Amino acid sequence: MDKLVDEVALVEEAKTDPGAFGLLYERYVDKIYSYVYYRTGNHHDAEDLTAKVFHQALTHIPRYVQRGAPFSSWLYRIAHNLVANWHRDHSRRQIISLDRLALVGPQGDDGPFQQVAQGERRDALLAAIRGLPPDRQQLLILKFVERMPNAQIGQTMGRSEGAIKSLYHRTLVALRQELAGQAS
Amino acid sequence: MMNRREVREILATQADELIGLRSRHKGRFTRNDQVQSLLDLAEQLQGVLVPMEPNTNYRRRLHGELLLEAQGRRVGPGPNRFQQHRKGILIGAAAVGSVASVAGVVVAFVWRLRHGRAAHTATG
Repeated sequence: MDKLVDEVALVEEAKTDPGAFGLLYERYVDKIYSYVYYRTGNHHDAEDLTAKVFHQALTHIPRYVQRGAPFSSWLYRIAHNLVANWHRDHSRRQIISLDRLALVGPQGDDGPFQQVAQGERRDALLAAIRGLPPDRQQLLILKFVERMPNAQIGQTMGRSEGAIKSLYHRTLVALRQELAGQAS
Repeated sequence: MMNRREVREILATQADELIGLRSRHKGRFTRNDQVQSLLDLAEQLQGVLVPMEPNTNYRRRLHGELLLEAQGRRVGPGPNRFQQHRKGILIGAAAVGSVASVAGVVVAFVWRLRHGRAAHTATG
């Protein structure tokens, strides 16, 4: 609660104080970058779009009105719209970029063949995620990368908490089907 | 047999446990194979979707750019009175225009009615 009150005050200050906007930037840049990275699949476009998100936020923050949702929800909506425009403008096919190969978790003591198999499974899963409709991709990123509770995801995506749970269920079922299709 | 609502709640609870929003009790959810495969899939998702961080130089450079831009806006000319009240002024002007056009139609109608009558009286 205190954090939210602090944030409300910080956002109000950021409307006129560049330093306060800088603090908001520091607080959210990693989250927005992660979100954009998973939606675009490469670091170059993630950097470009993240910069656009914060430039737009700086332009529009004087007109930002607090409605009880976290400030990050507003930033994610800007990011979501910019990514949608990016997909439309570039007419990108849903491909996994080479950046994905760098996206590896902690390496265990598995042998090289097991590591290759794990890498293939990871790539297949990422490919399946990027083949999902944008709202489902957004949900998975907000849930697993940003670790948001369902209520906050609902605020960000403009849906109820129950609708988010249902969408999550449908998303998992669709992913399972897609992965089964890839395997067969 | 579980209904959709039960499955939905189990999946939501497990997801919250995976991301640390609830304390974790592994393996207590279900013995249903269909649901178990979804729970396993969620665990794989958690392993693959990890936070990414931007390059430190990029982060610093963008911070600097934003601060410069914010300071530029601060010292630049503030919005004038028209810009501040632009929307209200435009709506007001549109309303005045609409009223004026309706009044014009009414005046023209009355004027025509009177002249028509006068002409009719003169010829009659």
